Amino acid sequence: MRRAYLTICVLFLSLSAPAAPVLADQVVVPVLAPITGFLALEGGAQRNGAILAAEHASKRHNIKFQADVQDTTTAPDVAVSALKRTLKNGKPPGVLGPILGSQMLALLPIADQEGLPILTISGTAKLTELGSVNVFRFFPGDSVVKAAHALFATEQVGMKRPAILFQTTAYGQSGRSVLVENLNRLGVTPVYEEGLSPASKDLSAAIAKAASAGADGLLLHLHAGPTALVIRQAHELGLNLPIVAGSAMHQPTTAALLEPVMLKGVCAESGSAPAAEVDGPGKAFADSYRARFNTEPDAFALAEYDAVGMFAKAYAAGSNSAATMRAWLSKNPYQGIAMSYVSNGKGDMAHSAVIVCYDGVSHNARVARRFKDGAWVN
Amino acid sequence: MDVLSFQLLLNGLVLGSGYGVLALGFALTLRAAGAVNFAHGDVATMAAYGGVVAAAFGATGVMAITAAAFLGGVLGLIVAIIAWAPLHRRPVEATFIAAIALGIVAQNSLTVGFGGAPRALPAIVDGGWHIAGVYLSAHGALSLVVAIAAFIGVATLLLRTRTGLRLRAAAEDPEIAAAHGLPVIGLAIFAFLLAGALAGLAGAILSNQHYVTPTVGAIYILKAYIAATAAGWGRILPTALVAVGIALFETIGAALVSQAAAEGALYLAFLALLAFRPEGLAGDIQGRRV
Repeated sequence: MRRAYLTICVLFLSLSAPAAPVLADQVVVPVLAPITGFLALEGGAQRNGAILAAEHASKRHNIKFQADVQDTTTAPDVAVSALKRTLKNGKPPGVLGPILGSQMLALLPIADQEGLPILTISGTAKLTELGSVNVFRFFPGDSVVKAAHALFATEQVGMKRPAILFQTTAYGQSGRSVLVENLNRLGVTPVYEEGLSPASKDLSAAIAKAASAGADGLLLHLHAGPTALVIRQAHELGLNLPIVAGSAMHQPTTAALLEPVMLKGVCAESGSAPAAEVDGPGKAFADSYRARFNTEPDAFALAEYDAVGMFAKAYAAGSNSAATMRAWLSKNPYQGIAMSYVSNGKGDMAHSAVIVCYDGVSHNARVARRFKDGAWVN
Repeated sequence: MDVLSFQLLLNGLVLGSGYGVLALGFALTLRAAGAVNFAHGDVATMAAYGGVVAAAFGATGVMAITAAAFLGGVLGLIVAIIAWAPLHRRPVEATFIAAIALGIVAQNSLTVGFGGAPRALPAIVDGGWHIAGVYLSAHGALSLVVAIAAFIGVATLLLRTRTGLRLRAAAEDPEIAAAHGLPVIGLAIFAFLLAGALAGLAGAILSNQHYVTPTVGAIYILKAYIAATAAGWGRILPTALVAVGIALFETIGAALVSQAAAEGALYLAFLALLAFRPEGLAGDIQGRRV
């Protein structure tokens, strides 16, 4: 039995050991991501996007970039420890921060104290409202995607009395608040709103109450599992209400949980939708991502890919310190795969979104509308 | 009763069938081995992923669920061998920590192996029925049947068979049972195996309509623990029934107030029960609890 324990301990230590030190001629790109825990799906996409971007940037710039990925789980203190560990090896020109807003909020004071740029794909609105000069957000914040969400639901789908189901987490409450503001701006007031715990296993009561309140459509701002559960249960209840969901629904893994027929009339907002692209750079990215990781890419992977791409371009242009990296990211535009990025002075780099819709006969989404700077561009 | 109420009742029962089978296994190890198996939820999760893998290789819903139950039994055995057998004579906290540690290893292994995306098991049988405005999936109906069969099976084993009598005797006083020649350790390990199979079955039932993620076991174990405490420590069938009640409370309570308020009310009710009837609804059979 002692031998069994010893074997387990050795195995555990070998799995948790720090990554091998990188060579001196490599440019280490620190990537903090929630690889384990309830955001592992998004964290995994973040990791994959960073690794692929580092590989591609190495060829493009003839500089060896190496993504050094550290697991932050989902606790703010673990993210802080990961950043401090990174800083122990010397201050890098920048760090790719975790997607989780509460972790990013915990990291910002350290970044400001150290003068360290943090590139993030977290959508939490507050991140770029705190006056930090060190945060650079490569995923459209709630102010962008929820504007597209509200506009599509009211103008394109024709919802006049929507109901909103949102997550009770910080992510859910932030999105719900911006969504309601945008609906009100369009002259629409939700007839029903309810916050749902991510742990809840039956959401039929909330759906039924929304229908009873006279809702003519459902607006969702939920994580992947609850999004699929609402769509499944709304279908089973036979409500036939149009649904415009949050970005979780653009993920191919979410669609895979449902029968295609359940997806009829379902659309979703997202920063981008690489798996739904049929040509151009988006399709090329999706193909190389599938070949590299044997899985479908999502908007988070692509946003991280673009963030690392901009980091690498800045480095190749001579920004090899935190101060020069911050200055470069603040002033220069960057043409990524998902969109063009430029800071609005607060660190918001991404100003575009897409709406994808499902046809009810397959799991494949198609891009229905593209949104930029507050208006449709196609 | 209107159509909506009946629909919610039905949904609660279907969800409760999964919770009930899960709690049944948790209470079984509690009763037969005196062990609080905090890895029970993670056994259910890992077994459900086994079903997902089986389905990826072409297994039907029935085959995937059978595979999950089988894998659950094996995992229950592993938990017993690693986290219970070498530690059961140590302070009781040692087995808790060992089980929790195994659960965390399981969660992280699943995350590394499968990623964090939710997965769904195939239904036992596809399709369903809309009857007078109420929907019942074939999977949901069969989940109820499977749960009732599991309740009856475990009750029969414990109350009507010699093995059940031995299990109960070994649990109630291991030293006297051992003095009478009963293989106390072997019986406890058998209880872990059976409980693991029940966890696998529950994980598979729940993972069709409610999906499975690497960390969902933490939610499952919380429900099972509350059910075991509320029912009465070591009361097997009452624990399963209370677990069904928790599912009904969550579903119907969400309709009466809101989902968040119903969840809060559930825990308040639990606290009130602990305050006014700490031995649980059916009484504390073990005379000790954690």
